[in-house]
Amino acid sequence: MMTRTFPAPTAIFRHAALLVTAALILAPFVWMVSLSIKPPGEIFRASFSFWPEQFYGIENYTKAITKVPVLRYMLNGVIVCASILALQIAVCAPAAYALAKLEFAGRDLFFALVLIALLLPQEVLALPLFILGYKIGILNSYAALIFPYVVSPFGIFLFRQFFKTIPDDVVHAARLDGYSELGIVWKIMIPMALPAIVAFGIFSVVSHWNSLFWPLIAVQDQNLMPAPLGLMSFRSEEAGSDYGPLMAAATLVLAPLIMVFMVAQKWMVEGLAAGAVK
Amino acid sequence: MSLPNSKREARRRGASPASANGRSTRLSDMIAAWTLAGPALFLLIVLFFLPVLAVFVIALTDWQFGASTLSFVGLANFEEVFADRGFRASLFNTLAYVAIVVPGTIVLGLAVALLIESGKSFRAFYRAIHFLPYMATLTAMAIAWEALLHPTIGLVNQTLAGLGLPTANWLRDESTVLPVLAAIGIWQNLGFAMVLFLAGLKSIPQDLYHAAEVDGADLWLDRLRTVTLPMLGPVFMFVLIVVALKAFETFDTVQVLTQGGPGHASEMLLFTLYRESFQYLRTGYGASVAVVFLIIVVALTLIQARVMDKKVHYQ
Amino acid sequence: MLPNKCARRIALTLAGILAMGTGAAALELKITYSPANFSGMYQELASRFMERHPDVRIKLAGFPTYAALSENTLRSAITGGLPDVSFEGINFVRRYADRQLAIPLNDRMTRDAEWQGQELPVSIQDIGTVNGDIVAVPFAISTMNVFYNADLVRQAGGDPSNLPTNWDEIVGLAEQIDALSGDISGMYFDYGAGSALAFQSLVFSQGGSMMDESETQVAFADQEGSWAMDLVRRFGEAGQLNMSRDQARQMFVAGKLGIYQNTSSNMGNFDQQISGTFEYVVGPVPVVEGGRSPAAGNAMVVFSSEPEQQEAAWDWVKFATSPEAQSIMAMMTGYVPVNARAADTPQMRAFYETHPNHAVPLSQIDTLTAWYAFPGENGERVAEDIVDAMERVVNLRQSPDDALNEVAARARRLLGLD
Repeated sequence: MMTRTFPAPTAIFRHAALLVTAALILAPFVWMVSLSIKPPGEIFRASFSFWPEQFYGIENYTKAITKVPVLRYMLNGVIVCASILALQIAVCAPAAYALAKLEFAGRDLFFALVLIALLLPQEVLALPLFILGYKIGILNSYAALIFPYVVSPFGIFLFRQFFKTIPDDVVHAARLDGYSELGIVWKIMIPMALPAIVAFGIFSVVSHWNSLFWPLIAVQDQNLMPAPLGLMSFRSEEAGSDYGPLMAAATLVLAPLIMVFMVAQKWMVEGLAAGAVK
Repeated sequence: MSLPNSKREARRRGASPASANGRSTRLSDMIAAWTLAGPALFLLIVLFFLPVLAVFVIALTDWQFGASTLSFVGLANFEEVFADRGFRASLFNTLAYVAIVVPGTIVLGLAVALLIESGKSFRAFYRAIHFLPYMATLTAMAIAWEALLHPTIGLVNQTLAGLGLPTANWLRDESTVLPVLAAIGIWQNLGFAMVLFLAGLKSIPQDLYHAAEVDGADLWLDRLRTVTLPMLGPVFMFVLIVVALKAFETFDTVQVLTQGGPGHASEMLLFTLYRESFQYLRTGYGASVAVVFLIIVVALTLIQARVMDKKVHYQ
Repeated sequence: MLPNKCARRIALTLAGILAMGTGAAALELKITYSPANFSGMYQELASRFMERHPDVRIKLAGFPTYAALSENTLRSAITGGLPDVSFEGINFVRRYADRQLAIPLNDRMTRDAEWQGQELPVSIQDIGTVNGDIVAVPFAISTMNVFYNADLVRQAGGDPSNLPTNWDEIVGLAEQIDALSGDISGMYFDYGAGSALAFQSLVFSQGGSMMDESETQVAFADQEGSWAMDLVRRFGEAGQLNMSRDQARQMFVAGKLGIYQNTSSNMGNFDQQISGTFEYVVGPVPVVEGGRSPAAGNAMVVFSSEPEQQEAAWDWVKFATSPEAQSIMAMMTGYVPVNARAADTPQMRAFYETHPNHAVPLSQIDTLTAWYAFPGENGERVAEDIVDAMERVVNLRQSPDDALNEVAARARRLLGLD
């Protein structure tokens, strides 16, 4: 059911073009992996080679895992990202449905508020949120890492756009079939907009997995910190960085995301099958 | 299912008329809508708007980070912001950066998404590779870029020199630093745009293509023009706004790679804000930079949204 | 009812149990530090300390940079969660004194015989002094040094065992190295170090200062400052490349940079990353008779307000400056010990035998002084201005006099002096 949608420019052109872009994209990653298997003495040589003379991968990766509890940090990442995503969908999908399919007084104002909230960068909000977290008394806990993100203007906006493309007739029919409004959200809108939901999930997980700005503010206990902190421990502005384990840690931190993406991709594709009722 | 019958039936059953067809809503509809949107609204107020209000208030003071006292200075901070050459440079740089990154990211992201979907083979592979930059921890990537862009021993210049092309001191030359940061920005974000376009492409119903074929749109380009691009309208609006926002709010690459240098050549608004508040500890002044920044961004985005919402084709 | 004797016994046992309970309610010391990659060393010190003080429990938290650590400390001041002891970057110590957050230690030092017995050099105590209050005790010092690629030095006709002793000689040697071949660069002066450290080191080395005693006049534009900017210009003319701090480090490690100026803390990484591909030697940044050199690195600041906490914190400070702790620190991090006795322990002596470069900073300790921070809310900005000025001068985009005058004028304005 795929090829019929886009008769291609020839397959050769397609592969050629994509391989060029892929190569450009991959250059820093090749570099990163190469550094992660080199001994310190080979890291900055005037001549380039991907493979080191002395394979040092085991030492680097071991150091990356043992010197700082990178695996523990990644576990924290899993807990925090999963919680955030679940809460975001629960809060944002109903609101997006209301914006997309219902008419009510104040709807345009609400949408404007969502857009404005979307514009507010966390660097600006960080300090007041820190004080808020302090007042509620949840600093230095998983809750501190989760609470600022529970509502996502990005999510509301994205879902709204996708929900709007679902025909109104479907909604009418569902109401006549006795669905409650919330039922429509969970049983109709989300399955039909699954590609968007999955895309959002990917973005949410990736951005919170990699984020250090807020955790450094909200949390002091090292046992709660997310994955990127494992990297920072190998970097020093004053004394220079320990590149081998740093890149090893970076590779380790990236690996779960790649796996999540590979799985999520499938849902985005299969989502079409479920939504074929259109 | 035919509509008029069911509507009559619905009225007989006393159910409220469907609101999406423009009829006046009843109280129960309003309640339904606000129940659905209520939690989100409450959280938006508490987590976004109250903090922003706090920032507005701080902008009127001379508070220094960590100090126990502060005093109100009215609009003095704002006067300073507009008089500061560094701020103007920062504003100009940010606008220039956005002007490069937004078209670059969107065009490339869309092109890659179309290319991937146009064939059957290796899709998952290509998608994953193009999404990698977005998934990687920025610090590690910035370190890699810094090494690659080294003026003499970096891979980029060595390759260029090997091919006989001109080299440059990419990160340290005032005329190249901003375009280079923009290129890195595109590199990072095209995966993001690509995934959104992929989701949009996946949501286009097959029948539309069949119908177009029947109507004589045989060529690939025709189908692109008559079906794909219009159907991507809502997604496109979204991607445009969000990518523009991300570009405006660039902070990490500047902080790790250039710290705004050389001079102020790569200084960008959010970095200026951060530095004033947390490095120089002039939090009151930093807050006023934040306020000016927000006003500009809000204006631009609302204009964008207005314009595009009218042009975009919904169902 | 129980017979008297029995009751007494029970009562005493109960009392004993209760006493044990309160005794075991340990005192908790919260300690924060940076950079985070020294966590192993801090954990080692903490466990040794807890062995000796079983009634104290230490809680450690590390931060990626001194700046991140300082932000955290300042935020904790807002929420009342200040650490007991923090290993702050020396250039940030001042901000705690200005905000009256740091506890002055003068009295404790004079009264405590154990402390007096350590006989730390006067310069070390100076480093932590702000306006007469000793608010910080240096822990791990990093000195201003010059690193030479011995192979390149020899190629250019120099002698690595007879290193240059003044800047004229250094620049001369750099020019010769620069002329060697296309991809070799002569020297790099790390002007980008935070809070204008590099400029300070030049000015102080000639006996100058950044501001006058009363901090009402800018002093860095006087003759020492002028000399310093001229020197920076000469670095540019000798071929200093326009590259970032990390890029310069990478170039030195790759063997393409002849002379590299930076702090001694780089030695740890250099040992590993160069690991024998070429020989490198270290010399001090030249200091004239009577001149000084700013100390980089970190110092312990005590924030505890409760008397019990302060006692425990002080015990920690004494332990951290003891020869035992200092030798652990020096061996595990490559920083310079503040306690000269640490250098005398057998392990350290053996270490310095096999790592002669690491012994060089020891000879610089007596000339050390505080890493200066400008007063007031615009202090950091003034320092950044100076760094920007050096960048323009070394890359030959502005003349030294113009740059210096411009910076001085702006500094006077920002510091509220005119």
